[in-house]
Amino acid sequence: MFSQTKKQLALSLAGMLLTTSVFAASHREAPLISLDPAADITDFYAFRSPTDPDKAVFVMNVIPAQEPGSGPNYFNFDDEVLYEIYIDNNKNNIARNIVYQFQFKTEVRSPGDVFTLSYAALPPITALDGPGSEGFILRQSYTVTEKRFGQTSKTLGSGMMFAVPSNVGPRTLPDYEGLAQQGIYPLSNGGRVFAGQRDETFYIDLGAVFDTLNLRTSPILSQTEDADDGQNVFGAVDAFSGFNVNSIAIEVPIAELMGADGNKVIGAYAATSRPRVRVLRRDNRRTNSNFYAQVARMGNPLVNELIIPTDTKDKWNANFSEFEAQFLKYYCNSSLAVALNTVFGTNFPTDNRDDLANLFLRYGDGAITNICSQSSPSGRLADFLRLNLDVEPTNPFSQRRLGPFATDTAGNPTPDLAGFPNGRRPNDDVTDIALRAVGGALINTGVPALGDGVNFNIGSPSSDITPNGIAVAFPFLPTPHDGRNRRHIDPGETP
Amino acid sequence: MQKKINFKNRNFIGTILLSIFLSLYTNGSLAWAASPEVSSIALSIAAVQAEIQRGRETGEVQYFERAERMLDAFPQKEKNVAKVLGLRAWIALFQHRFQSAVVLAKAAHLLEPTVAFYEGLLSDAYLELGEYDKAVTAAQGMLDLRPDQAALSRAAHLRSLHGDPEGAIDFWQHAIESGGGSPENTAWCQVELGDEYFHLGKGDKAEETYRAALETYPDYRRAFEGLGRLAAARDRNGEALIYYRKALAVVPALETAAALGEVHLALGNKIKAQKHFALVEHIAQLNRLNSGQNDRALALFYTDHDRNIEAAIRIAEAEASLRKDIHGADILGWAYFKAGRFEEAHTTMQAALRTGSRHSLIHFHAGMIAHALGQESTAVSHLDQALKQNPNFHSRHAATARKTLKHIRSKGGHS
Repeated sequence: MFSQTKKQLALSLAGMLLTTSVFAASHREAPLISLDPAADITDFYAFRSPTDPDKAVFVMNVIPAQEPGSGPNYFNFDDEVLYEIYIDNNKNNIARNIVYQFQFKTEVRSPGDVFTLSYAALPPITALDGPGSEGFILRQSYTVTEKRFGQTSKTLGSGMMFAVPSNVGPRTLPDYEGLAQQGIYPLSNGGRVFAGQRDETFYIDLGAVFDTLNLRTSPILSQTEDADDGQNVFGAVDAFSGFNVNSIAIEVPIAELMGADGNKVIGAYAATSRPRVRVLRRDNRRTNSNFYAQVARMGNPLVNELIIPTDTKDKWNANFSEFEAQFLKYYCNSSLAVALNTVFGTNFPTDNRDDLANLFLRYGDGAITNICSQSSPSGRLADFLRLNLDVEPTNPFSQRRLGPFATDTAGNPTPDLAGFPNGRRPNDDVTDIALRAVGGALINTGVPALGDGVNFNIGSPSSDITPNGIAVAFPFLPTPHDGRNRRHIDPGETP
Repeated sequence: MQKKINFKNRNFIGTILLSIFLSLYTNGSLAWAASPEVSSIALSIAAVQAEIQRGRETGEVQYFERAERMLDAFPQKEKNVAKVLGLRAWIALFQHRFQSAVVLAKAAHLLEPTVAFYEGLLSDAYLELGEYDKAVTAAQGMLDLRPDQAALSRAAHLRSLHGDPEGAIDFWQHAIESGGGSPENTAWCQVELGDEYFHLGKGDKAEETYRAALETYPDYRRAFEGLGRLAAARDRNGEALIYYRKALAVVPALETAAALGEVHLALGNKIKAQKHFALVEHIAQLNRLNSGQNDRALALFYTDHDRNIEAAIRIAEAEASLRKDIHGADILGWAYFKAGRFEEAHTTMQAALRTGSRHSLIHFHAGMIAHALGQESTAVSHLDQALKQNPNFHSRHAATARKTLKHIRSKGGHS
């Protein structure tokens, strides 16, 4: 360019598209929109352990849609984020009876003298600590704290606990599952804890659903299709196949969870927070590290995605789940029902959806209470997962994705009461259940078998799973896909 | 600039960002797409955003004007929704209509106080105007709503402006770690962090950070510029040439051309230096044609090379009448100095120093002005500060600072 004459230069500049420095130099263009993956809760699960029925398991997943090969940094929890699971055990829709808190601390061990990559491990990583862990350069330890209302906090772990690193590949981590097992630690309350990467079990034809319900097949499944939890309807694509997620899983004895009066119906949600900070340090009046700003929360699945409108999401995320009454209109007036009716010509009820409001926001005591038509409904409304710890867990090999709406190939009801909306298990088909609930299945038995066509977690590389991808042991999430060999299954492909 | 349509292209990323903006800030619930009335508004907003994006890429006024006309044509009941006001505020920022940007962003914010985006626009507008207390308040609002990368970016910059580079570094690191909407955003933060290290004289850390930015977002122009400036300040002129050329190849920005000329001067390549200085003038001319505005970077270029000082003063004064930020004051003060108008230079420089910024260039300018006025102890204090903070803040100016200090001290007494 600089061998040209001045005139040519001027002409070529005039012809070029300039990102003019008028703006670049004297006008800052700082980022305006950011995601916060380490604090982004993708899913929250609560269920009775099928292997230890006297225990319950809570899992919060963060850092969505992880492409397994994402070196060199891969995926880590954030030291600044406070990860929490809130429990209500006296049915007053305030989940402060018990709070489990998880905080991480990152260390960079040994002067990366050979490689600057966190996970280029010579020798390969076969242990989280001690011999065999020399290659584990970027390592995160964490603490688990229990806060019971009115009592002082209690540390539940004993000794150092480490997060299991991302599954880079078989050379770096030759026995990943063996290593992950080392990441299961006992807790002083008789439970266990795990933190680290796992396979994303949530399955949905995401592209089709959010392309205004542009499903690839009929939205109504045949009896055979609906009864088959191991086969996707032809053409339907699990957008999350081959992706991973970071999980924090805690197993707690039911005796520790239940209410003082023996109540076994609990409510729960997960939240992430960041410390409140001041722009200018000289203004820093924050001396108490308890000043946190909540960044994200999740009780029921798909509330944030399908019920809360986008320009309200930040406000919704910043509010505690116990203050859901301010968002009641979005539950009562179902825009998803409107969309279904518009796209498929159905006639599902679109407003006064007391059934949905009760399902998501109150403990069901049988009757559906009138909330939607009241200007100020009495009683607190909270977005919790609600789990009845008296209901027996279902063996993973017999789990039905549709929970209470499960049927056999002849169309006879064969409900699995241990799944969503009774708590939520990792492999419950909350998309199909939500579609049917929005269609009115809670109040009307004639609602068709709506679904996105994706019925199971396909392509999991784990060995410890059922044929349809359900992990059979704590933390009940399959082995994550490894970065070197992962596959994202497309329509028509076999795993 | 070759308009490469590839993933790494900054403007492509900008398009993605705007798509994300669209999806985030229009109602994401499916009823939107289902309702015909509502979806035509969504499409119109998308069209407006496309025009803004085009304007952002080309710098040409016509796109922003078209975007505004489209907004004018919205049905009456949609005209004053927060989204529309926010878009208007964003357009106003690009057009340097900062007072209007404030009014519009404030209106959007009042309508939707829980959307951090509008606080961000407000903070940006106040920042450009030099109303720093209000910029801090708006940034605090953003931090309180969502302590994420966007909020932390603004807070970090404000910390730096107020003379707290260590605090700025802390926030930049958090901004980078917390991740964001696009690699370009994170790379942007990494370059800012690199700049912060540079201003503190931590050249090695600066270099490491600029390189990390390139890993995040290959061929990132701002990272090349940072590396170029660092190399030039360390008198590694061959290296500086390479980096600045790479930056120029991505975007022929005025400051980059000026910097290249400066490097050629340092290498003794007078002809090449002149070619680049001519390029600066051409770019300035095209900017004027495109946007009707003069760039105060041109004013700085003139003063740094002792040419067209009257034009420099005109440009800088015009800018200073529109906005009272410390950079404008710094440039104007330096121009007055070069014109021999030392008293005015001194008064203007106080405005540049008012936030307590510790950046060496500002203190260098202040020191030289004080020296011209015979205020030797003030001069020493500023020049010392400049060199202590970053001994290699600029190859020519750092040398001048050292020489001047030596001269003052040899004259007698002042230490």
